Amino acid sequence: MPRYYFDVFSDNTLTRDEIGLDLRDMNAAVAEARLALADMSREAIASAKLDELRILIRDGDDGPVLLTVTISTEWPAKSDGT
Amino acid sequence: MALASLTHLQPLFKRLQVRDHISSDEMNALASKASAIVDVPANTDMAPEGSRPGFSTLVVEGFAIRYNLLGDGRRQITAIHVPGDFIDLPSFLLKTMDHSVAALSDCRVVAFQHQGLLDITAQWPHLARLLWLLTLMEAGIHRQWLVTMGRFSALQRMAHLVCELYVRLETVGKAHNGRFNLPMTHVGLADTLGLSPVHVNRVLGELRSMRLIRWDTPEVEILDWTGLRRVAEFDDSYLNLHNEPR
Repeated sequence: MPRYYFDVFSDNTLTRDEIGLDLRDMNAAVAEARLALADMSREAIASAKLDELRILIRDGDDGPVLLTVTISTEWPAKSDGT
Repeated sequence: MALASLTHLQPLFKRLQVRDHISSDEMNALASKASAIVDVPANTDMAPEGSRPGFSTLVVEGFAIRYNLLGDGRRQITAIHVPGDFIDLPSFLLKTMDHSVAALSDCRVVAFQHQGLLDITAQWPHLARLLWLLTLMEAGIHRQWLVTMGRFSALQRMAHLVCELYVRLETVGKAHNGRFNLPMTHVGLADTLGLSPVHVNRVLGELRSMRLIRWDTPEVEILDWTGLRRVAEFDDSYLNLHNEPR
């Protein structure tokens, strides 16, 4: 089974994966990354200090594949009625 | 097959001596009921779910785990056992295993026939209470894990596990100067902490960049015990480390 590496970008820091996971194919790697994003987003959303999480999947032949979760908070536009 | 002696039971005696006084007669009584010493290779099931073991095993070297398999094949590790832990004392009274016990690393275990444990509980009431104490301490760890898994962040869960394992291993002389060996992969840690392996990697990176731990598999080194405890909200009272008559 090929080995995939999952670099995580969050809070302006990169955690580079030096160990990797052995998985069937890139589809399985994407599924693993989505699971990790689901895991991490829960805390990121709750802590309110993080707006974006990214996982870059690296391997020798296929990829890289980038997955991004973005959280946006939209405030109402200020009226000009002064 | 070699027979166990008093020396092999030292990790168990150390654990008990932290909590109570244990006489040499009691040590000999326990040792007399120990049967074979068995070397179990890593990743071997010792007591699979659904089985009815006729003996209970004590870990004297290495690490063992308890786990449950989910319908989709995923695994949840519910306990990590270190030397001195009686891993399937529950099977003495529960009879049928409701979970599996496996060797995480290469393990050396000592088997106690259930008949032998029955004799001990009949003839040595204080030893019976100490065996009871061991299962209560295990329940205490399970309660703490429930709190940790249910309410703590991923970073806190990992920090808490490191703190707990350090204290438990130090008690039996298997951790020194902030260092211990944990022969566990990221997948194993993920299955223990209820996280994905990728998240485990990120959290370990965070603990490293905070200069709290160093982790060169299998060696873990705690660089800042106070800082790690603070992150983990670690309070060792659930490990019942005080000595008093039981």
